[in-house]
Amino acid sequence: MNSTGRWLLVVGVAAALVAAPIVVRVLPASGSDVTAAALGERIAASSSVPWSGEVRTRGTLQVPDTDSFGGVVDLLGESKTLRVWWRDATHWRVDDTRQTGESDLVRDGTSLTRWVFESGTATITPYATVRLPDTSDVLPSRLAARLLGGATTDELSRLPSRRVAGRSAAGLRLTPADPASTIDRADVWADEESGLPLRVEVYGKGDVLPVVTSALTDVDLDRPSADVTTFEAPATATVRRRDVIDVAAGANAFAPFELPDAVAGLERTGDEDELGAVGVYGRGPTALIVIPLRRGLAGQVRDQLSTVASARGGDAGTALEVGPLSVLLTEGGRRSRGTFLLAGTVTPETLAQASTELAQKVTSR
Amino acid sequence: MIRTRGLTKRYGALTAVDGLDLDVREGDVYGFLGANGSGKTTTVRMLLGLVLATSGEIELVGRPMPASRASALPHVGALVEGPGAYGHLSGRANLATFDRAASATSRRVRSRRIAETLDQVGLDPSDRRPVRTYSLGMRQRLGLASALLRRPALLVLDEPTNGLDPQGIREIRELLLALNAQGTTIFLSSHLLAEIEQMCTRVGVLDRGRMVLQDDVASLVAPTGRVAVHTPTPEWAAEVLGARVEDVSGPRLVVVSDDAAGVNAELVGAGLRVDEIGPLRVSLEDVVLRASTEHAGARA
Amino acid sequence: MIRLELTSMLRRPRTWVTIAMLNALPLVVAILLAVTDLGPRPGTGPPFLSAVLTDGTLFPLAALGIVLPLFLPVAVAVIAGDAIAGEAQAGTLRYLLISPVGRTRLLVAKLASTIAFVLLAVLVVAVAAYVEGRVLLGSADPSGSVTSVSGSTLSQAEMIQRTVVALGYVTVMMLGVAAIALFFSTVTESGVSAALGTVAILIGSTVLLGLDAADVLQPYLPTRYWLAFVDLFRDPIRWDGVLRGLASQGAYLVVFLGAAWANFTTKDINT
Repeated sequence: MNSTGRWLLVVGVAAALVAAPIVVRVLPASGSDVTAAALGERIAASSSVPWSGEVRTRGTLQVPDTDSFGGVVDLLGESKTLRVWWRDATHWRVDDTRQTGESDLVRDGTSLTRWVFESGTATITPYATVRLPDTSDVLPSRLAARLLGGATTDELSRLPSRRVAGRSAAGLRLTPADPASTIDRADVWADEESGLPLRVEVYGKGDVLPVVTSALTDVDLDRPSADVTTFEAPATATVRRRDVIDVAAGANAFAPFELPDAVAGLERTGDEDELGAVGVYGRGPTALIVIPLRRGLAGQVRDQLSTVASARGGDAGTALEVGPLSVLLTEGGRRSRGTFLLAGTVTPETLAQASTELAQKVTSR
Repeated sequence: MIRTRGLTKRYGALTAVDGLDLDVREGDVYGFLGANGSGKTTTVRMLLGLVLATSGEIELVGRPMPASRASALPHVGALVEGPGAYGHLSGRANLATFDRAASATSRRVRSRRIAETLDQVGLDPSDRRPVRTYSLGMRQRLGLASALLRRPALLVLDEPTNGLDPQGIREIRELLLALNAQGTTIFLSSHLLAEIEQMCTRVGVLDRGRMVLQDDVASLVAPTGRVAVHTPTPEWAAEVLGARVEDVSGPRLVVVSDDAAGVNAELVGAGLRVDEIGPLRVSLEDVVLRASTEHAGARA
Repeated sequence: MIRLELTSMLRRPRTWVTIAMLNALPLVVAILLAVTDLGPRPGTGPPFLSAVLTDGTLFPLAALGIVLPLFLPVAVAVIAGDAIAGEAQAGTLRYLLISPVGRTRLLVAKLASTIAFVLLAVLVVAVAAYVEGRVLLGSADPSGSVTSVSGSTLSQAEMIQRTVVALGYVTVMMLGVAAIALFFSTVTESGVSAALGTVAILIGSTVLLGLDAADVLQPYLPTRYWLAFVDLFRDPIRWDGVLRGLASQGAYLVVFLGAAWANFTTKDINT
């Protein structure tokens, strides 16, 4: 074989090796003629589907860093590789893997264990639905369920199928009708067999690229075994027990406020027995959260916000928009109503309106 | 032992070796002569399979090259463009390394042969110094030792006396002639005419990539049927010898004759004094120069 | 030829100097950690480094994490980059080839001795780090059991098994580097250029890895799966990254060794 022949052989092998993963990825997905409404229902019904696999999330929102909300900042602004074992809604494990270690969330019925390898600490708390978003909230299944919750038929349309994690997935687009929403659209691809959402992309108004992407890279629809979703602290670990998961859950349980049932035309949602001083309003892509802050924490957050160039001071307080996310920190102290942090995927005007209504309607408890 | 047909090497537009037909026979000491840059080294590298020919065929110790390099090269010892050695190893260790790379000789046999060969080329087999401390001449000797190590049937030596002092050159020459007497064929490539003239039985002359001459040295420098005479009285001598004198220049006469002793007797008989007399030979230098000029003329 | 290459690699002072230098950095880190007791923040610094403060027996893994991103590949690039080019520069290549050693065999022997070097270096680093970890940082659990990355308990036997697999994995991760350097080594006559060319590729790969815009390229980058040996210490083991790492190094090995072969076997040796 002469020189040219040898080089052609090498180039051919190289091309084949480069192409192999691409070919696997672009294998055509089988088309599906299910209607948008029916697909929405199948996705809603998939919440009981057990699965395990790997999720890659990517957030592109540069939210100013604050110590108490650091986890949320990472979630919105960074890429993560999550390993997930999902037995059912109350028994699951989500590992946030890093090259240097990992942070795990293990929900075992009513308790939640958070494990951080680098510090060797396991923190055990009662589980609460009112809390700051964590890695379990950005899984495609949970994200899709939240976004599609309460969606009307005219907000839904079909997208062509595509292949996600080696499976054919039917596409569904949600275009919020509510003018208060800052979400332009959310695209969901769900497994054609089980209806399990495999990929979610969320776009802000005018965005070309999604602000948040969450997609399975590998999925197994067998029910994971129970020993994977239980956590037994090793002998060398530091084990802490806490009453609340985070500042939001703490405020919900202990802050001395009673919140109104609706603000800015958005209804309050949540379980009856978990309704406390933190309020979640609205549904799907038009939602906001109201968190009362302790004075020390409020000052800290205000300082952090003031260092951000795009933050504005106003009558209502310090406001900031990051992509489709609006944040408002109210001026505390005036009528001893305390300081509230409002955040959500709603327009700044809606947030300002909500804070005005809040100032009038909040009562002490 | 070496035979090439139409051997050609082109580097882009440049033709380094052009249609070479080499013929080295068993038992030859073959002198491969050419100026620097005439394509000698490229040819040697092609013979050994280091450089791949553009076209043409090579036969080395009866086997086609480079196809049969694995069976041909063990019978060939070579020194190509100076020696190469691992500086951090001793001379012994260097020889052992090259030998181990390709042959499965037992440790004892190898060790004995290395000692013999080092001794042959005039290096001390017990020298443990690393080669980086060696002088140029010592390195050259080590390179020769490496070529000789396996008692090859054919030695291909490119400028083997480079860097050696006159005494060293003489030693190496004697060693090579002794090896040749024992049956080793030697292919000696050099730009030094004197070196070739002193040793070689056959000669090939390369000029700008082309072979301009290839013949036995004996027939190239065969007697010319002339006798050269040096005498203090050239006019008188010319008178005595008459029409047989071909040329007179200063004290030197060229006489047409096969018999120098007869001419001498004639002159002395006539009362002339003779400084020097003998059959006239052409030097190899003359032959080579003439061949090169003719070749250049033919080309132009 | 392979045996010859191995013995001459082991006899070269350069081999041992390089290994000693590889060990210097983990030693410095161990001493600093022991003195200051100050680990990196979660998510930063080399893997396992914060965990060794509580358990010194993990230090071999931390040491691998320290040398793997830069020191080890540079050492491999230097050794493999010198493999052919160094022989060419010293003038010994032509004598090896006419001795005669087949060109393909020479390439394979050089690769084998480079791999042997990596294995040796990795073993020495691991053993030295184990001793350093025990002596300087102490062990957490006298039974020898260790906490996995996922917070489960690994028995000593499991830990040893996984460590052995990790050492093997790290060695395999250097195959791609060795093949790239070997290819460059057949292209240039300077070992330094070959090594620098290889290091340039690795740095380029690292830069692209940190860039979200290069997402499409990332599975193809040679350094992408290097640190996946950490996945062996998760529970359950995350094989995905490890297998991808093995596959990607295999592909690099095939392509660049193939390129080295195509170039070297048809090349005129003019040195």
